[in-house]
Amino acid sequence: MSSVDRPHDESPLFATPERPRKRPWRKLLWVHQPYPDNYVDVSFLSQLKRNMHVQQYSFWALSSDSTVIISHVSTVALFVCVFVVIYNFDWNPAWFAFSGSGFTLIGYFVWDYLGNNTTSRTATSKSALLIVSTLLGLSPVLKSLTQSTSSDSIWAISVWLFLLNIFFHDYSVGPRKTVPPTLSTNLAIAAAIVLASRLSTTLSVFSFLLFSIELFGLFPIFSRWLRSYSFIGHLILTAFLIITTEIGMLRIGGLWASGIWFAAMLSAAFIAPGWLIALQKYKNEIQGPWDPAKPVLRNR
Amino acid sequence: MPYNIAMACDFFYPQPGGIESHIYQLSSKLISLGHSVIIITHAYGSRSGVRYLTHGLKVYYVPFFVLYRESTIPLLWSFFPILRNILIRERIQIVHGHGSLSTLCHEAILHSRTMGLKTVFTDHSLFGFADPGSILGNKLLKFTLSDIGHVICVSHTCKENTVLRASLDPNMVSVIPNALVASNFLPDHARASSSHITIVVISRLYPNKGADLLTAIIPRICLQHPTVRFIIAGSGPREIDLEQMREKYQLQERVELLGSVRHEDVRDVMVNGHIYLHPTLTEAFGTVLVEAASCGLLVVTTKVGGIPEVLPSHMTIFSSPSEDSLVASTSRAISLIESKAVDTSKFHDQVKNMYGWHNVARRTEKVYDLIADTTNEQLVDRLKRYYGCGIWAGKLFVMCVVIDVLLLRFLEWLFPEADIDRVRKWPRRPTDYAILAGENDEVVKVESEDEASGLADASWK
Repeated sequence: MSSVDRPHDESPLFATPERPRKRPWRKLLWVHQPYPDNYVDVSFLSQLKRNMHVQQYSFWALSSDSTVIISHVSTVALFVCVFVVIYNFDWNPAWFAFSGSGFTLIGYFVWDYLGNNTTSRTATSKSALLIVSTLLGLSPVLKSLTQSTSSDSIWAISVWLFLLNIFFHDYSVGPRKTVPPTLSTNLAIAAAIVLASRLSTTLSVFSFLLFSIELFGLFPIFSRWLRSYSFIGHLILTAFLIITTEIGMLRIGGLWASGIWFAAMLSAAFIAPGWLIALQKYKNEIQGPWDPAKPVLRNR
Repeated sequence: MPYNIAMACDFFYPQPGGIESHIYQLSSKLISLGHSVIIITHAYGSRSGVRYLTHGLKVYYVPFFVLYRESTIPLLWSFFPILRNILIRERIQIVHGHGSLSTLCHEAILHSRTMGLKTVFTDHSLFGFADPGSILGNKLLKFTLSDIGHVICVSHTCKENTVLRASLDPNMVSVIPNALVASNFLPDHARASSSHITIVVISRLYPNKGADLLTAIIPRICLQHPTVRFIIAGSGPREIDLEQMREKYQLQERVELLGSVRHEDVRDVMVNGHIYLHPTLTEAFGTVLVEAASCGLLVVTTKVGGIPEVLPSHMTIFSSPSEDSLVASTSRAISLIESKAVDTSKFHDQVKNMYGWHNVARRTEKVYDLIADTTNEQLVDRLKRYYGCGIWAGKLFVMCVVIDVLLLRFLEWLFPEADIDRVRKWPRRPTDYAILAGENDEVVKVESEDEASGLADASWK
């Protein structure tokens, strides 16, 4: 009998005409089958697929990818350290502008020498000159920008802007195909402007902003290029950034701050990837015939 | 035993659509089976209050703000007083909600469970699991269906989807397909041109309905088959792409764009064609396919969602949702029509035997019979069901239900049940019974596909 080989068919809730031998149930609507409407066949959910598109991660791949995040977060932390030493310890901002410009020039010549330059050097120097002189002209205005705002509000707003910058930064690997997303750069520059408006002289505002443009506008382009050109070079650069940030942390917050920062960087590189892999066992993606199909169109 | 049934849904006439006509057809057939049915929906503009349709089908257009989903939480209980009044006034035993996107349906089911009435829910659509909208919608569905009597789905794929979305026991989900009024979709083979082949497309022109695929395949088919013409009815955001395609390939003579057509005019559009093309990407049932086959058209469709269950293989040519596959399938359909290898004249009678509203009403009646005798469980057991919906959601849902129960106590004190007038049943004259008896003569042949599929029933005995 059918109820023997079909365990699900034991209790028909609806009255059905009994036949000597039922033909197997089929997943069709246009045929009136001698099964109750709430019949559950053994084939129920047989087309269900789980975790079809789940990517298998390897620990070292994740760990090396995390250096990209560490590198950017270190950049932001370094910038904050620079502001604190200028604001609280009266370091000369011009020093940072000089060293920043020096590093920028070195980076530019390396980039230029390795044959990635598509724009002429004259055009680049012209636009650099234009930006620097515009910044110089705007510095007095920016200095008085937030005079009527209390410092506490400025710290709060800059924290938010930096957090958003870290969130929206483009961490993708490989050569950039489309226009770079300017949102994160704009957020960082905005944070730099509100911080700069706390400084006392026009020259320090100018120096600080010049340093911020070099760090948030130009450095990400260089570090992105270096990453695709040589991974070892990227690792050396990241190590240099971490060490510099550690020195900055030691200067502004002492041993505690640098220790906590070092632990955070260490966990981002080694503990977080392991945690992500451990969480993969909870992954439960469900796919089935009810999902909207992906149309396959010819490219023209 | 006749029941007093209330259909609850946000979507009803004057708005056109599949769920709307489903509710209307099912209600009128249930009335012809002797039940008393009312429909509860929200007010559409000035259409507010009580209206009567054919056979004494009563519609309550409840004045009710239509807001976004986020805003319905404060409105969750505001609907309860008037709903309770209607349900007591009409002596309702069974509340039947339709459509998982209808908040009025969800609220009606929650409140009627609080009042101890029996509930049924019909799901008409498919949802994914990954996008934020679906996650929210599925949580809401889980809330409503935690304490439902029975669920009806329009296709087996829809059942699998709903069981997963709301974590239901599959035994309490029945599959009852949509149907069509076959007499409204009579074929007229004289209307279709004999000199060229016409392909009809009736679809809202949205990306998920495959409008992009349609735009891509029309020029290729027109190039391959010089005798083919297209009639496209429907509007939507992709209409402009179709018009641009028509201009780019200079197909104004061969591709006719009708814009949106009313449901009652669909048949008149369909009978002009030989082939019905349906390039959709998702579909729970696809009533339009059944309508096209009933009009005597050969159906070319993508094999997605519940579509493979809907029509037998001699009426349909299935395709994968890709441009090349759709062009190949349409070409096959064109050559079948040209060589007269397929006889579409029998389609109407075959479809008429497959899908009828009377059959749907009979099967729905069985669902009502099933839940009518169940006893209501204790409030604590009911709360336990809601509590199991999730770590956070469970507690939130329990709170909602507890407030609902307290509100019912308050309403019972403020408007005692004894003070609410009971309505008189719609009077039935002897002639009505005669008409109703005639409608009930329809007989469904079980396993009616045998002659078509070539599998003789004898071989199974």
